[in-house]
Amino acid sequence: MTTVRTAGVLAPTRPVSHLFELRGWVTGVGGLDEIAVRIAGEEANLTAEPCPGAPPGAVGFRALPATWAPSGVHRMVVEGPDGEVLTGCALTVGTLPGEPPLWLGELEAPTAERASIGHVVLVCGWALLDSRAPSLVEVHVEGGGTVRARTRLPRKDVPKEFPAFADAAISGFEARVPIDLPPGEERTLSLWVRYRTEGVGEHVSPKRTFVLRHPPADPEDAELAEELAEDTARALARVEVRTDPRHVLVLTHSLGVGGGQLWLQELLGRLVTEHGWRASLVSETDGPLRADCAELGIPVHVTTHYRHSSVPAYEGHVGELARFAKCSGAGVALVNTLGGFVAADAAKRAGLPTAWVIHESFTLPDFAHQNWGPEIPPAAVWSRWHSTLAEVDLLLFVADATREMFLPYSKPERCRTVRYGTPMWKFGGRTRPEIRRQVRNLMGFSPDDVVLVNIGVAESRKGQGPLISAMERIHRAHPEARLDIVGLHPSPYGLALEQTVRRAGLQDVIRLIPIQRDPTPWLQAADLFVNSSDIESLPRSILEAVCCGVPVAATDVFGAREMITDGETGWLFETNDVDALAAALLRALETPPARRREMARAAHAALSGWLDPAGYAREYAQILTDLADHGGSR
Amino acid sequence: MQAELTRLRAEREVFTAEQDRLKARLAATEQELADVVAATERLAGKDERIAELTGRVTELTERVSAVSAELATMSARAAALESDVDILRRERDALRAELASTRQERDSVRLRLLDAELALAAGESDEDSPVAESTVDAERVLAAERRAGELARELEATRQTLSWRVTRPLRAVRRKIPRT
Repeated sequence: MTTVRTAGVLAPTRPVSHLFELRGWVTGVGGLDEIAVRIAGEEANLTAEPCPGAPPGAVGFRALPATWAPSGVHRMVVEGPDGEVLTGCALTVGTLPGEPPLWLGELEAPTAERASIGHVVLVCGWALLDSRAPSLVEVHVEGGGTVRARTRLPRKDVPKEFPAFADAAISGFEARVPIDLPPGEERTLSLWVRYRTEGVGEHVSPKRTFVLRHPPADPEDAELAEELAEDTARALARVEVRTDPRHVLVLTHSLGVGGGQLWLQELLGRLVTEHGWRASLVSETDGPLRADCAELGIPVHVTTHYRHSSVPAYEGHVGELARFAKCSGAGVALVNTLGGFVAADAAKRAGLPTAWVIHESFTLPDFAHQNWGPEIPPAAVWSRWHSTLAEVDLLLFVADATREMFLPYSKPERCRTVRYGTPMWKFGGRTRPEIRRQVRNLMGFSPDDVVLVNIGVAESRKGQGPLISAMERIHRAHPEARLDIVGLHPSPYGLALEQTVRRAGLQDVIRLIPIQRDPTPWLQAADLFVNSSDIESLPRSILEAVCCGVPVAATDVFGAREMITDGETGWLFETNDVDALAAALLRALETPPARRREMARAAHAALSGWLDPAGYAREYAQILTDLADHGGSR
Repeated sequence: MQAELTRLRAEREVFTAEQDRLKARLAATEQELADVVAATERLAGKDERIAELTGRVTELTERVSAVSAELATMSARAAALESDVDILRRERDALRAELASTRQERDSVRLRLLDAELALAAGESDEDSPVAESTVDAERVLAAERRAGELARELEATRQTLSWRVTRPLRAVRRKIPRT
């Protein structure tokens, strides 16, 4: 004979806070160990307590969620011994009027217990504000100013502790704050962090004091560096080579597919085929662009990653590259990317007039910290980095803002901005309607969809995570908006993006597309291009969008603001702020299509003077010719 | 007389010797004078050269002074321009900060409007979605649950009665007979 069990709960008729309790009763059971109460899918803790209004003989209980419940409407159920649902109710969890928003999180670094090493403060942790990752995390470090942290970084540990919280898996944040601290010194500093989301409120952390210690320079390093440099100089003096002033030695970081590499490939192609240059190439790593070099008749030498972890390693690699440079017979050197200071130093020691192209808009401490950690390079190598920036014949930049950033290391006459173009210049700032229709059909978009496109290798710097959050916030107001993010690869960040889209139930709204060598079809299908990177010099993808007649919404950073005028030729928004990004998307989506097209045309007209890649190739050919003919005496 | 003549001849020889010596001395003096005159003439030429060089030096010094003054002016102008650039950069950075603050205010208003629009839309269309029950509904549900609990208890009590246990086989047979 089956026992009949019934249950009842005193369902709250008003929203409850994140930590709350419910009372109820059950009949037909011997005790609370026979039942379970689940709130938002998680089993609650039960204590026996008479419940007012319970029928005679019922077992009363008080149920408390095992942990904070996230904001939202949740289902609460009472389950019998066999898991059968006896009763249930819906309840609304949220911040009660007058209460601050719930903040869950941890500031993991820096800590008071352990000194931070180096001259950059790495501030990291995780945070949930009113159950979601905050829109903005601002870090204030004494002596380092205010820095906006990169948010929505993947976390594996937080969802284990807070499985009901939608953003737990992307609750990580990180900021790097350079401090002017000489080697061998330490300083006690303080910091505080502000977490903010519009419409939710903010949480300000208590001030935390910590010690920053910059390791002392090895007193023997400078002498050793000098000694090894002299060895290299003596070895190079024994080599007599006839140089060809029309032969350029290019030293770069990678032959993989990426913005900096594609820029170089385009340039080399034109130098060789249109301007009669001979080229040789040295790369840190191999990649698919090696085949393109082979087609152009450019010999490629793949070396190791630049070695700068110690003085002997640095001088050893510089010595090897300098010998290679001298024996190459090249009359001039072109070094690519900021991390290429080993190569630039080598080219100078080989006596080659050298131009060094710096695309990155990072400060040196920031760049070093994120690429090599807090203690690399050592002080003696660090000073070579500085002196190479000062000695190299020409520093070339792709944006004026980047040039301004590096001016203190060199002289104004040695720093020059040369913006690059793109082969997509041929589209002339428009996409033909029939092409657009075809591409959209192929991609499965309907004519009424407003297609947003983001292109860039999936990584935290590119801000795809914040873009998904912004899209989640606005898509109910703009159900016609569809977003394609092109550049997915199976990194932890890429996997977190996929999980975020799935968890938000936005698979029909946001598609994550693997890396494409040719993203043209997405640009031809797009109504709006969104650049969400938190740091960029001259984003190639923006140029390509402009060439295809797509209006651009972009973060207001470095070169982006040199390309887009807010409200006239596109939309700019503040960096590392999901609210700002969401508002920019709203502004763009609420702009009538005709006005959007007008803005795209205005953007193309503003940039058309340098979009043709023939222009920058010609300028580079002239620069290299001048260097080869007159040396580096500036 | 002879003696007088001899004495006079001796004196003449002395005078002649003295005359020769004086002539030689005169010649040497004349030579010295000529050398002095020549040297004086040479010195007079050098003075002219020195004067010429001094004039040139003065001229060059004046030009150097003029160039130095021009350089100082240029340096001052360059320093002033650098200072202006620094001021402009600071002004630009301050304007950017102000712009960021203004944008934040604008975005804040827009997002508040968005939230209001969404809340309004949700109120109009999501009537069937799971929301917390109203007080009346909650009371009605609770009363029903209580009544169910009481009935369950009654049922259980009935099941425990003698008549219920005695009629168990009859109920079993009835369950096996299909209902028409």
